[in-house]
Amino acid sequence: MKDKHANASVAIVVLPGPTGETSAAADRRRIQRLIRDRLLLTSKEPYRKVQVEVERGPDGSPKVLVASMLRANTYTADIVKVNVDAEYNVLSVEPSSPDSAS
Amino acid sequence: MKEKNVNESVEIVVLPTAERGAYGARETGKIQQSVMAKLLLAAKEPYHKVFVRVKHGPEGGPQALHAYMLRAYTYTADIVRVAVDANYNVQSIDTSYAGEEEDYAEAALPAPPSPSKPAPGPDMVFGTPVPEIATAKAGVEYACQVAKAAGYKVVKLLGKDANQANYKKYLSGHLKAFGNIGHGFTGGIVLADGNLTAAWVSTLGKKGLSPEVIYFNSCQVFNPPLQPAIMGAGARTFVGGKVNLLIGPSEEVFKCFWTKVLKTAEKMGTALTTCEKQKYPVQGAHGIRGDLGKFK
Repeated sequence: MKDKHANASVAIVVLPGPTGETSAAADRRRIQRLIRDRLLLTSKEPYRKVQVEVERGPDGSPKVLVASMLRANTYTADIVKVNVDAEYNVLSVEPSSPDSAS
Repeated sequence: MKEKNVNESVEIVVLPTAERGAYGARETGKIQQSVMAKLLLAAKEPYHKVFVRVKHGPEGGPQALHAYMLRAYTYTADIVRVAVDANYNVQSIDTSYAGEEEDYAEAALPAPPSPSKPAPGPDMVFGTPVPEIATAKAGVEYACQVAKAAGYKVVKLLGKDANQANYKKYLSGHLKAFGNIGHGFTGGIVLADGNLTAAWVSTLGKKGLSPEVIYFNSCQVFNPPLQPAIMGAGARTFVGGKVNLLIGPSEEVFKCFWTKVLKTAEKMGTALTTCEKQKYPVQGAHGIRGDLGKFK
């Protein structure tokens, strides 16, 4: 039997945008799936929660997901930027510079 | 690296006198140098500004400097008499000098600028965006309890109330103290609805966080860019994690610190060192900067 990954059940919260706008339910699910598959399930670090901010282009399409990944055993937040296309396909993943984490 | 003295940038104003009117740049420089070296850099108390009046002898040469040292966090003026020779070299210092009548009558000191407006709101705020971590919630509740018992007005922010709007409002509200338990990184802390970052702190100006003692029980926050941003915004003291802080033991340090500082009036620097020794598995995980003296 395959062991369940330590991060398989971590809560992923997609935060409202700067003006309070929320992502559509379908978008939230795609974001959550992406964060789980690309960040949480590939990590050896156990996490407690991930908060995701969506940065959008002028046309409203998603550009960057800023994931604040809260570790389970320390008060560390790992900030990761995921560059995406309009369909939430991952273009690249990078640790964010501290200042740019909004 | 040598620690910067909290008083090394304090403004020293040489007041005009009846005997001499205004003093020239060279003489003013000598007076400022003496006051800085012998009074300000030797003091443990942080100061906001110093006014100096030169007392002249019958032959017109300087005899003494009367220094009115305005404290940074209270409306106290410490008056010190410094005996000097003709070249303003310090001969002796009298810290028990209470001032002469003329010091009060003729000094006509400008009103000391307020380091912060007396706020009608709370004195202190303690919060956590992660109250589901039992030790985080308990740490915040404990700190609130200790602060209330010490006579302070306290606001507690838990969960969704530990958000950017509330933290920004209170942090920039010229409180006496602000404590947060939650996740962090070198550039900020994570709140219920996003991150509070060094970039925001940098917008506050030199007195934006004055005169607060700020304790972020968060990992890595005692590093650039957040740590210099907080000190640059005028925080009185900043305490935070230099490295990753363990959930559980770090809250014990937080609780111990506020108990020692608010209840038993220990110096803040000593309190943090002692608490870390007593409550945390390794030393040097926490940093403290700014005023390390007594809270009150």
